[in-house]
Amino acid sequence: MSSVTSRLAFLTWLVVVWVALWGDLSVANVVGGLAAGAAVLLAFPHAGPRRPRYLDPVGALRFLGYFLVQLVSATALVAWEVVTPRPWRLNEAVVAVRVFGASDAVVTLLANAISLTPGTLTLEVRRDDVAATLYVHVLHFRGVEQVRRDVEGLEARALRAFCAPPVLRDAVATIHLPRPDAAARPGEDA
Amino acid sequence: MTVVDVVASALLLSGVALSVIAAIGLNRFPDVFARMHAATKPATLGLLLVLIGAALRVADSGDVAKLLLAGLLQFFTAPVGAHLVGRAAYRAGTELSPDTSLDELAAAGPDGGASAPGTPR
Repeated sequence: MSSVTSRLAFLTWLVVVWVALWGDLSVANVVGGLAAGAAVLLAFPHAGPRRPRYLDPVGALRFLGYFLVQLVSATALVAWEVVTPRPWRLNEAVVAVRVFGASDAVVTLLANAISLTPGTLTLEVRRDDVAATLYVHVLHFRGVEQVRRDVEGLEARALRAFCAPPVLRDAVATIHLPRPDAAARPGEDA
Repeated sequence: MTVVDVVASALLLSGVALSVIAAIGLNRFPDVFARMHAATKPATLGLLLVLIGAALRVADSGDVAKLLLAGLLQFFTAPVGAHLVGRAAYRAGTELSPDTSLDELAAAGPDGGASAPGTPR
């Protein structure tokens, strides 16, 4: 997507927000929104989301549905944890998970979605050339593999929704590369 | 009382209950990181339920647009806020609770030395 189209898309989004905040679709509000949006774009030339270049609507809906189910079960889990009397024991952990970094937008989406799904919270993101490493805080640790499976459930659906098929094939190849964090294992203390 | 009233009330009440649970969780959980779990999930769903409940009761479509926007922005801001608080706490050397059994970020270095090129420090 060229920078002009992406800036126009961002301006449109700002106008929609402006009009929604005023709660009234009038010419004055649209003009006001355009003025305010242009001011924002001038003041912050690098602002605006890097929108994913590919969108599979069915995939996106399935991602959304999966995500909402996860959000509800995450809430139930944390809520139960909160209201049940002590003693409960949390078993916390920080786990490194490699994900395919198709674009910053997809990594951002994943990092946010992880924070809203059961028992996981993104603490840190490291980018390298082919992938990103998400450091995920886990409330109920039952092994590294379990955490990776949870994240991969989200990742697979996000990639299907926001990644063009050829890129997706690269993704599959990349994800199954040996994980570089495996080498860092000796440094961990249990 | 219409059916809509009942549904709206139920949504508002369960939303409020979840927000209360989130607040209690902030107090009960043992460390910053666990507390961020409580601050994101129940709080987000709680707010969402309150907004849906409110949207059922207001007639004006402009007001519904505002509620929709509030819900949408919550989805972007709550996880980002929790991420940044957790990240800042980790980098500041906050101790994980004794219930923590594994820390793979410790091996990678807590200072973010390998952060993405071009990222302002």
